[in-house]
Amino acid sequence: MDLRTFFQHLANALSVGSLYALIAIGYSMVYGILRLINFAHGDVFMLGAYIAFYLVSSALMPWWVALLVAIGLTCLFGIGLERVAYRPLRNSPRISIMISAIGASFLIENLAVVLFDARPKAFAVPDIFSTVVKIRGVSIVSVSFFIPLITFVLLAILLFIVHKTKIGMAMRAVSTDQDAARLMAIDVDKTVSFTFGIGSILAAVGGIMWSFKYPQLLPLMGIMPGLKCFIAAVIGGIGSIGGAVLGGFLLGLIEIMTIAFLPDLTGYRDAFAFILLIVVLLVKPTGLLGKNQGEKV
Amino acid sequence: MKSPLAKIADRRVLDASLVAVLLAGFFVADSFLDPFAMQIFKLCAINIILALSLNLLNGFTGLFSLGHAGFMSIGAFSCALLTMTAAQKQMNFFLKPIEPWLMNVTIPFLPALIISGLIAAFAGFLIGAPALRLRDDYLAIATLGFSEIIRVVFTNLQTVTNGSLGLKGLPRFTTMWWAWGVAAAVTVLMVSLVRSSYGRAFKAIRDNEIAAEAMGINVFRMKLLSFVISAFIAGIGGALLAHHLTTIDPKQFQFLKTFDVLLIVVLGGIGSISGSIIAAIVVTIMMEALRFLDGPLNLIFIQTEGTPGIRMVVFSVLLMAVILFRQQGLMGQKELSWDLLSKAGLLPRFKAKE
Amino acid sequence: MLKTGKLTKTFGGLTAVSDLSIEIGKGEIVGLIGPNGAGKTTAFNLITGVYKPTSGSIEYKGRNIAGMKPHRITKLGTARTFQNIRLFKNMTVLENVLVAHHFRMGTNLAEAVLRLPSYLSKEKATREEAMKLLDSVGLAEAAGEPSTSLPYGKQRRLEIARALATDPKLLLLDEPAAGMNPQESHDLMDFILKIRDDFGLTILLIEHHMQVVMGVCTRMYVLDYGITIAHGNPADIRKDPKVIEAYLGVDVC
Repeated sequence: MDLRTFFQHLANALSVGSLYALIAIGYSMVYGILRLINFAHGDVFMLGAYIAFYLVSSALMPWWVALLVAIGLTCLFGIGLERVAYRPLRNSPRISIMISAIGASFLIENLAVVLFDARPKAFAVPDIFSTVVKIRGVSIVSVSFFIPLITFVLLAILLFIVHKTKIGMAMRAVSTDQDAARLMAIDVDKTVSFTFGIGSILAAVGGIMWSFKYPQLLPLMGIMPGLKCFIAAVIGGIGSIGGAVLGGFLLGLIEIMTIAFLPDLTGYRDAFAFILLIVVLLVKPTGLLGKNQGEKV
Repeated sequence: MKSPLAKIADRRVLDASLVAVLLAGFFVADSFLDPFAMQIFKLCAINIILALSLNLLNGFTGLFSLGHAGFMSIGAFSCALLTMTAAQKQMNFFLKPIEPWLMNVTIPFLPALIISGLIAAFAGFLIGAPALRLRDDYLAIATLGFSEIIRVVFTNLQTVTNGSLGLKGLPRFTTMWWAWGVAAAVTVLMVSLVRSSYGRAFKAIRDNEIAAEAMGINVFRMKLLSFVISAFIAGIGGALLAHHLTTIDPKQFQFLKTFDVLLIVVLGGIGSISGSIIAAIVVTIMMEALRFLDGPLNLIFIQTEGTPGIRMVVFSVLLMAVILFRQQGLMGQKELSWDLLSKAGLLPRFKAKE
Repeated sequence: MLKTGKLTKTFGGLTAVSDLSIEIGKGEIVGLIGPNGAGKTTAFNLITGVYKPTSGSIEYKGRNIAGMKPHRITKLGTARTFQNIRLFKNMTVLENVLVAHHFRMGTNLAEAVLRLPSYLSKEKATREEAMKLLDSVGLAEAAGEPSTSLPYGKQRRLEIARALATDPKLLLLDEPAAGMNPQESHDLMDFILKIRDDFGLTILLIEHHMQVVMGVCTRMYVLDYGITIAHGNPADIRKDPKVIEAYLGVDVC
């Protein structure tokens, strides 16, 4: 493979990795705070894309306003999801809340099939994201620059919130010990809602940028990315934001570069994530950057 | 004053009468059910088998596994490949020829069924050995991962499974007697297992793993045993399904399939055998009955063209409703028994249990 | 019977147990006391295999059991109860005890599932043994009740019965008198002495109820922050200034 193709693949890997990272963060934060695998997160990602699609194509407002509104609506949806499907089960056995998450995921997917219909929809990507740029003979779509850029900006904002604000500290406290946090007069419910809100915002941005890169929308488009991003979060160390980012980029890199060098394995692309997952779970279950959470006997 | 009903208030008489009634029912069904109804009837039995196998794992041993579709898939493809004739294989594998060593393998249904189960069980062993060391939510994801790996691999193994084209024209071995016969056998074996000391060990692991280990139970080995048995039964269920539908492809065995079985187990009650049986029958029938929701609807004021997906929305809502408002499903961990019916007033009072 | 040599367990930066060296002879009832968080339950967990020692040795009947899995240690003849009762909540009283017999049944899956006569006779024998055990702790009448329906004191007794069902030679009791009133504690004392004699046990006991500890133990080890600060018979321990200091504010009811 020549250098040019290599860089094209690398650019691709970088944007795919960024998207995975964005979505993986949501999984990691929710798991960190509730020990819950939010199976429906991938579907929130899908919703973000669809809401954006409908708002942009309605031409009621400038596209960038439509995107912001879509993100906001998705954020509200995520918060609502937690209220309805997860909060009532906070004191129930963990299996119940997992089943609820799976049920919610299927419900959202099937509602999407009913409301949006199963035929693929073409996202009207704004020009600024679809221009092709040539650097030293390598053709790259502009969106491939925007995705990592936006990801890093959002990541910086997120890290600021988590480490430098009160609510961020509350999030970290609840992640470590929910009961102790409650005793410190931290409003656990609000903190959880906030966490879901942020996760949903990131997922929505991820969904929108995903549609810029792959402009075909399908109601079930969230399933695979959702699963993969959860795996990315586990690989990096679930519960850790840095881990999610690391896992996301690692997964994106491995997926794209392996196919690039071994195109015969294209059919197995989706399986890489799962194989990587199994390997990590066996060797270091807490993930690359994860911490151990033991049970008191 | 002793009512004549009091005479039949003996559990053994009731058990025997039940079996007689059921057998008579099967003969009637065989003669009178139209082909469509028979399809549903057979599917009920297959879903009973699948639900029981998942319940053993989730309900009785407390292991949340999401990989069931994978074992069904292994069982289905194994049995299909073992029972298809060379001619049938030739017809299917037009894109790429089948592996030579598979070409001429054709064995009768019963041994193929058992071997498929064993292959699935072996897969269960390979998957369980690493996966069961993980904590519950990680176990769920790991088993889901394995199930997906199996699906992707099957989709790509063109010379073994015919890839995404799948296998068509499978011999329709799954008659009503086969389906319900195996369902009955699985039920009897499950009841026997759960009531035995091994069943108690499984339940102990479910209730309190650390205490179980402290009481001398080799928790890991027991978990693995439960996993392997569950995989075995799921494999057989998958095989029966294959020869009922006569067409299989890897896409049928994605996570949605596990969800369907999970739905039945949750609705029936995680930890109840009778619950799984009842739920399997009800859900199978409802899945068909509600198919009209996906088609054109005429509700006088509202007429729709046909919206596929409403049916699954209904089932998703049902699952959510159960898990949010009645976690224990229909039967919780209790079993349907003559005593239960008696207490509910549906049967005359019994003499005290010995 | 049991001997630990400089047993140490650290969790990250915290040393839960440090250089624990205790010795228990056959038929003794030895106490392990100390303020909360002193590392007593950690010591239990090390001895029963729930934790792996960071360093040090554990010998049971001369055999090194450090790092062995709990079920194997139980098979060798050690049983325990838990500080916060770990009954099998969805099973009956009798079933709880039956579970502890499982590894001793000598059965296999095939004969169990097929209900072969060989299995049925083993099951019958096991049930009889279990009922006898329940009888000896006064719980025979509650055999068919869900284990959670028992009052607290009886639940503790059930846990002890369950532990006894594994046919142990060494029994570790983790705060058996917790939550008991003076009368119940008194009954418990008699009970402990009784089972020691009836079953030929050696007992290691963690307890905060001084009355119980002083009443049944011939020797005691006192832990504080993981370190053994005193060791001796009840009379000596009562007077030991280090113990009194560690225990300022203890409840001696």
